[in-house]
Amino acid sequence: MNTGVRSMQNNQTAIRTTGHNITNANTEGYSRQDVHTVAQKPIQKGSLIIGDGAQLSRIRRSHDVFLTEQINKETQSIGLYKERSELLSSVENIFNESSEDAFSNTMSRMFNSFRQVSSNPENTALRTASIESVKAFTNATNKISADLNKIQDNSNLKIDAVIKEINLMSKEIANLNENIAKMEIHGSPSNDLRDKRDLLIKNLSKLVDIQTFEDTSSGMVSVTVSGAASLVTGVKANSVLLDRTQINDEGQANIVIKYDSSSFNISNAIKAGELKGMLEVRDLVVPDLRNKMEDLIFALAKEINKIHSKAFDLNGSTGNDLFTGLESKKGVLSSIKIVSYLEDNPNKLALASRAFEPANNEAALEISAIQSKRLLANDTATVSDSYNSLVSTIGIKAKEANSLLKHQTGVLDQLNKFRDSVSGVSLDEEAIDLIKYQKAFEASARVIKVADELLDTIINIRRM
Amino acid sequence: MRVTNNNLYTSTERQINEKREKMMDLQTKLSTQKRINKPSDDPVGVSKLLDLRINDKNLNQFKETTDAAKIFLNYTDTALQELSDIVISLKDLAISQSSSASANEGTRKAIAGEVEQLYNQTLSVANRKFGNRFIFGGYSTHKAPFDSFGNYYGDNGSIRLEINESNYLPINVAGSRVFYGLNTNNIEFKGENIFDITRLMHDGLMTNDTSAIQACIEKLDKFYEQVIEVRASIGSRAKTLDGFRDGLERSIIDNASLKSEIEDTDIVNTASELKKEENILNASLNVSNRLLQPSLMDFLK
Repeated sequence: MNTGVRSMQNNQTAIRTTGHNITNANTEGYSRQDVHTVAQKPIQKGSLIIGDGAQLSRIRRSHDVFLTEQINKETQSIGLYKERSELLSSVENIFNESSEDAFSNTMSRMFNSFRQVSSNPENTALRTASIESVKAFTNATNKISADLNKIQDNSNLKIDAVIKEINLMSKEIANLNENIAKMEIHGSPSNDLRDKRDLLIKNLSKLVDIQTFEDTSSGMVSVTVSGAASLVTGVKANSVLLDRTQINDEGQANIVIKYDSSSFNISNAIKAGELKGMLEVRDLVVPDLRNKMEDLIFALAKEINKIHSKAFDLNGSTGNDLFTGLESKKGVLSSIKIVSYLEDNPNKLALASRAFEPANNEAALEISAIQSKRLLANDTATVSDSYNSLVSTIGIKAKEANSLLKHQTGVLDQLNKFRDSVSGVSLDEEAIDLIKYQKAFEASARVIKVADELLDTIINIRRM
Repeated sequence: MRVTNNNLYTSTERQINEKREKMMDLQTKLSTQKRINKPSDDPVGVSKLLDLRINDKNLNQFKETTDAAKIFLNYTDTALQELSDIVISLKDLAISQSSSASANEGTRKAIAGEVEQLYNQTLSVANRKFGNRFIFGGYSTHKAPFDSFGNYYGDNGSIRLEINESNYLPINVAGSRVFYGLNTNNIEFKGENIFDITRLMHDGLMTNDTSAIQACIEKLDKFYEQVIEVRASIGSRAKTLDGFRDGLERSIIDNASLKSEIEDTDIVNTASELKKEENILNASLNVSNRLLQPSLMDFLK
């Protein structure tokens, strides 16, 4: 009878576990659990060894450590590629040349306005048009600078948000560490909490590249960022922070991990994850673009100023610049402006090579000829060559990021498929299990009933 | 491999998403009629495209410039035509008044008045304006280049326009060249001064000096040649302009077709690709219908 009761209990547990599996079929990160039973220690009677039924050994989760690790690793890359691709597409938008106000249009309009005014330099309307086109050019330049800044600012906002998430997750991992250690002290694995912790680690991997190490005696997991700085040790989580008091060469805030008495800069240690994508665009891509644009604008504006300051305006004066704000190359994108007195004084636009020759257009011709002058890259590239190759480079980078993301998504999908194949819940299987355990439960009940009847027979043996 | 429910759902979802994304991309290409909507669509193409766009802007500007230059040249030529007519009239008068058969002191005095008229007409040609610009002032287009005595106040500036990349063509002739016969450095080379000739002729008529009048005939011939030379140079410049303009128009068309080749959507191709994707999507939707529906639960009743 005892055997039957135990069997009923066992099967009840199994049915319960099956139910648990079914209800968690769509739970993210859940691993299918199954009940392991082993035969009881048999009873020896004389020379006979009689089986004494089954006993539950443990409830195990179907879980592949190697696969989990691999998924975490690939997830780090997908975080990086995703952010890189997203941010690069916003960079691409700055240099989107499909509209009329696009920078390259503005630049060629400026050159052509000087060609136009050269056909009639005495004409105030044409002079005004030239000045307007120069203004449009400086405005477009200022806008590129503002847009690049905005991308860096946005990256910082995103970094802040991601850091908040990281801190929440590491705290939760620390909490789970504590709970798992407590529960597993009795020896059996805490499946659901481990699933939850695995999921957190996977999600954390998407944000930043982490390495984990499990202490097999306590079941606690320690987490480090890139193996360089510890994020979670045992039950303690250290918080990450975008420290605006610590600034790198690009004037951007560093990411640090705060410890009790110190802090550790991890900006350069981070190698993957969304954080890396953001840092990369903020500290490498945008500054590089800004430098290239600065080279271009600085060379162009200096060259135009050189001609303009030697030329004569309609009033016969000379020695005036066309652009201001060229004190240094750094920051020229935001500081460049047209000389203010030109704005309402088109006569002061200097287009003549000699004084008091109103139809003299030699300086205007010289300015428009800069368009085909090789000013850049050691006198091998014109300004439009440089600009075009810059746009092309952005395009190549964005395209590469997109295809890496696509490829990586494929890889991860495949891995997730494997994981699902190992750990996922198949409702068909569970349905079969349900029937299996239900039948076993019924049969066990039958065993009890038979035992009961046997007892009955023995008790009533005298009445027979 | 063990296939779980999640497996089925996610892979179906991914497949459908992938197809939808592809279709959306094709749709963008069709609706914008552009193959390149952002630099990453074709990084190499985009750089060529930018070049072609700049080219297009420049070519159109050059075309505009050649038109402006042509108008200016034509206007100058009309003025010079008028000048030649004046010279012919002067010569006719000089010939008729130098012989004693057809003229006498009285007619000469009367004709002197006519010559004065022609002098003024010459002056008006010399101070001809196109819009606000004195066309014979060189760079000094803002003030009358000649005073009433025929003194030149202009300069020898040659207004050049860029009629094609790095190709410059002067559109004006300085008054000193036309009316004095000075070369571009304002150094006398062979020229005749029409104002001097006219004055000489006027004086000859007034003083009844036939030999002076006769001397004018030769000078007028020389001056006429001088004007014809300038007109010939203007004519050849106009011809150059026409050549350039034709070339520009061809380049604009070539440029546009190159541009279209790089950036425009191949409608037929893209539309059929879209149709193909649509078919694949329909097929995979169909398959998912069969794959996702059945479950053991449906049969356990």
